[in-house]
Amino acid sequence: MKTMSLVALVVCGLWTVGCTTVVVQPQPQGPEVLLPGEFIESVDANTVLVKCSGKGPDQMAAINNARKGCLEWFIVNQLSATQEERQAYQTNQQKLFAQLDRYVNLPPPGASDGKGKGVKSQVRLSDTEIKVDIITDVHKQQLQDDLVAMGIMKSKSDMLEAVGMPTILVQPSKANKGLKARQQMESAVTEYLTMNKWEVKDPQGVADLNKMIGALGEATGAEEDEAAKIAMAVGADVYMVFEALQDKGADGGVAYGAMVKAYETTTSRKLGEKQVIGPARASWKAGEDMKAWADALRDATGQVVPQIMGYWKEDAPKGNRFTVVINNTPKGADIKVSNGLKRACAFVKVTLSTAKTLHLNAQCKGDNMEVAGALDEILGGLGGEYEFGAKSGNLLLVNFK
Amino acid sequence: MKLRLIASLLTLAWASASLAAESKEDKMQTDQTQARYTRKSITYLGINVAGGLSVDEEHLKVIEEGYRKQLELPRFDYNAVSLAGVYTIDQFVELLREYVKKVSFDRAAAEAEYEARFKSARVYMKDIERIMNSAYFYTLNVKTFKSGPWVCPENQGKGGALLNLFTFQCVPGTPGVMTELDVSATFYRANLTDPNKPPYELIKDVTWIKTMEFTAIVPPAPPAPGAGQALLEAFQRALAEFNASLPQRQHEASLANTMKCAKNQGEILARELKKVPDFQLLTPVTSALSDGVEFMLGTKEGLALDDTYEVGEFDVAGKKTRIGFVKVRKVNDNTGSGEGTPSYAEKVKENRKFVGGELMAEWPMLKLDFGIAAVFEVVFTDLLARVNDSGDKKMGFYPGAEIWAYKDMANIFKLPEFYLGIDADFLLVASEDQYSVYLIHAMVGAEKKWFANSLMFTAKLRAGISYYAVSYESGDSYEGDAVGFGADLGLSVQYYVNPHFQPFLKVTGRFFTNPLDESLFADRPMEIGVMAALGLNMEI
Repeated sequence: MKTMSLVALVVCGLWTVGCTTVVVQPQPQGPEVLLPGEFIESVDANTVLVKCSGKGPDQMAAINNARKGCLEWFIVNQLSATQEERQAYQTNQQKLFAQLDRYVNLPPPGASDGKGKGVKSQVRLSDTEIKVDIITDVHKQQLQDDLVAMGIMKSKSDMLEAVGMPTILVQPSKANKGLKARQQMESAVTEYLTMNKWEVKDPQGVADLNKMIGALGEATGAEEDEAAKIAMAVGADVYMVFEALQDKGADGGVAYGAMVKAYETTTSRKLGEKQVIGPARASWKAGEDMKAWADALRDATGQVVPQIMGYWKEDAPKGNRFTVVINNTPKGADIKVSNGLKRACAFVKVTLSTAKTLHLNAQCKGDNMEVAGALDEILGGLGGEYEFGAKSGNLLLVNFK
Repeated sequence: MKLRLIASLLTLAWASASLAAESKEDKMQTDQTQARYTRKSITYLGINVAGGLSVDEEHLKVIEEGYRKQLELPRFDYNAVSLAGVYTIDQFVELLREYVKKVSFDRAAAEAEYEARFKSARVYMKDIERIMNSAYFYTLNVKTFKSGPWVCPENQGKGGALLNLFTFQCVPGTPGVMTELDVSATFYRANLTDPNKPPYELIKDVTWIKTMEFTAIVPPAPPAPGAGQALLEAFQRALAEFNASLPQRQHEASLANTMKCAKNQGEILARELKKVPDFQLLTPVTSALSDGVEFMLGTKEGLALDDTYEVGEFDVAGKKTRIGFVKVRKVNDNTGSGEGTPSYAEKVKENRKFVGGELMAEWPMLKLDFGIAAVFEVVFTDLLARVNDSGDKKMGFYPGAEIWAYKDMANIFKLPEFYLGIDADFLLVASEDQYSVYLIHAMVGAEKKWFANSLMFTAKLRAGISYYAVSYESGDSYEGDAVGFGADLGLSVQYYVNPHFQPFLKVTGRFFTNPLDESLFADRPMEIGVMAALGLNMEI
C-alpha cells in the first residue's frame, strides 16, 4: 500500500511538473524596431495617407505591426523637429502604441478597388512570418495634440510664445498667372494652410501695395522676384509659390504636376520644395480635371509645410528677420547703418549698396517697431529728411527725400 | 544658349516630376497578391451567322435568348446597346474615340453632339460613361445549326442502341426532330483612347463542342391485327390529325431543342468565361477563421453556395503557391468596398494554415459529380438460393462496378453540398450452373457531403430497381419477372485531392426484392447485404 502511495505521489509530482509549463513572454528590450513608412498624400488638414510595411505570423499581427510603423515614421519624420522630441517619443513608444487606434486607422478590408487605402500587398517571408504593405490614414491633428499633452512635443502655442509662427503668402508662379483656375488653385493651397492654423497673408488687403513694390526696386535677387516683393510688402515671413502643369494623354486621361516652393522672405532662401503628380483621371468626366489639380496641389503643400516648420523651429529663436531698404541713401550710410544695427541685432548683412539704394538683412530679437526705433536713431545721425515707407512684419522701408 | 539651358532644366524638372508621379501611382495600386475583381460592364453587340449557314429569325431569337441568359453573369453590368443595322464594332468604337477626344476640349458641345448621334443606336450618355470606363464587348457566333426530322438509328447493335438511349433518350426506330447547335462567344476589349492602337482587341473566343438534342414525335400506333372497324377508323382519324399537325409539332420541337442546346452549351461556355482572367472573381481573404474564411464578394457578383475558390499566397519573388481550397457556405451582400456583410467559405483543403490576406481565385465548375468504382457486394443469402456442401444456404459474394452522375442542388434547396442524381451498378452473380446472372441496379439518389480538411464524409440514400439479366449457355433468354425494387444507404469517406478528383471508400447497406421467376427459382431470397466500393469521384 505504501509502495502504491509512493508511486502515485511520484506520478502526480511528475504530472504537475511536466504539464504546468510556464510560458514566459519575452519582454521587449527597448523600443520596437519597425519598418519605415512613406508619405502618400495629404487627405485634408487633419489627415494624411501613409504607406507602411509590417511583419507578423498572421495578417492581423502584420497589419498592426505596419500601423505601428506608420505611427513611428510619422512622428519621427513629420512631426518631431528636434532630437529631444525624438528621444522623448522613443521613451513613450509603448504608451503611444497602446492607443494605436486613436492615431492610425485599421486599413479597410481588402484592397479597396486597387487604389487608395487598404492592404496593398502580402507575401510570405518564411514558414512563420508574412509581410504586408498597407496604406492607411494617420490622424495628424489628434496625434499632435496628444504628443503635446504627453510632453513629447512642444505645442504650437508654446512655440508661438517662444518664437512666433511664420506668416505665409501664397502666390502662383509666373507661368500660372494667366490660368482660368488660378483663384481656385490659390484657395486650395490657402485653405490647407489656414486649416492647419497658419496665418496666411492676403495681398488684397494691403493698401498702396504696388507703390511699396515699386519702392523695393529690382534688387531682391530672388528667384521669384515679384512674389518676394509682395511678401515683403505684406509682411509675410515665408512665401510659397505654386505651379500646376496639366498633362493630357492621348488616352483621354488628365494628370497635373504640382510644384510648390517655399522661400524665406527676407533672404529669399529656399526652405522647401516639392513636386508631385496626382494620379491620372478620366478627362471625359465632369469635375475630374479640378480634382486632378486640387489633389496634386494639396499633396505638394502638405509635404512642404513640415520643411518650413523644421526650418522655422530652428531659426526663429535666433530672432526676427528683417529686410531694411533705404532709398536715396546719404553718403556713407551703409557702414553707419550696418554698424548701428549690429548693436540691436544678432546678425546684419548688407546685400546691396549703391549710390542711391541700401539693402540690408538683419536678424534681431526685437519686433519691427523696436528695430524701426533703433534704425530711426541711426538715420537721425545721418542728416537729411526721411520717412518710413513701411514698417511691416519684416520690412523696414525708408525713403530719404 | 541661355534658352537652351532653361529648356534643359525645365525638361529635367518635368522628368523628375513624372518619375515621382509614377511612383505615387504605383504606390497607390494594389499588386497581384491582393488583387480584387473589379466590376466590368459589357456590351452585347449582336449575333453573327457563319457564311453558308441559314438560320431563320425565330431560331436566331431563341439561340440569342438561350445563350445570353447563361453568359450574362451577375458579375457584369450590361449596357443596353443595340448596334444591329446602325454601326459595325469598328464604327462604334471610332465614334466613341471621337467623343473622348472632343469631350476633353468642350464637354457641353461634345455631349450635345454625340448624344444625338448615339441615340440612333439607343445609346444614352450614362451608357457611354459606363462603356468608356470598362469597354468590353461580346458577340455570339453561330458556327453550326441543323434542325430537322430524324429517326433514331436502327441496326447499330446493342451498344449503339444503349448509346442512343443514353445520349438522346431514343429507342431505335423512333421518329422525331434532331437539332445540332454550336455557338461561340467572342469577347473584345475596346481601345477608346489611344488612336495608335487597333480599335479593339480580342480577349477570348469561348467555344465548346457542339450540342445535340432529340425530341421524339411518335405517330399513333396501328391497332392490332384483327381489331374491329371502329378501332381502325379511330386510328385513321388519329393518323390524319397527326399528319396534319406534324409540321407544326416538328417546328415547335425544333425550337424547344434549340433552346435546350443553347442552355446546355451556354452553361458550359459560362464556366469557360469565368476562367478568363479579365472576368475571373478574385478577392483577398479578409478574415481567416478556425474552420473557414470570410471574404468580400456577394450577391452582386452572383456568388452561389458551393462555389469553389482556390486559396493562394505569394512569396517575395512573386511566385504564387496554392495552399488550399474553400467552398462557399454563406452568401451575403458585401459590395467589396467594406459595406455589407462578408460572405463565408468553409475550408475543404488546407495545405498551410490560412492567416488572412491570401488571394482567393474562383475555380469555375458545373457542380456535376460523376465517377466509377469497383464494388463488391455481400448478401446474407445467395440470390440464387444456392447451398454449401453441408446443405445450408450460403452467402453471396458478387463483384462488379458502379457509375453515377449527380448534380449539386445546394442553390435550389438552400442546403450546402446537397446532390441529386442517378446511379447504376452491374454485379456478376457467378453461377456454376448453365446460366449466368448479371444483376443491374438503376437508382435515383440524394447525397449530402461534409468536409473535414481534405476528407469528405458522405451519406447517400438511393432507391430504384434491380434487373436480373439471366443468360443461358444454350442461348435461350430468360423471360420471367426481372425487375425488383429496393433502396440502400451508403456512407463514404473521400479524400479531397482537388476540386476535380476525390478517391473514396464506401460501404452501403442494401435491401432489394428478388424478382426471379418463381417457376424457375423455387426459393427467392431478398437481396439484403452490404456493398463495399472503392472508386474515384470526379467533379466538373
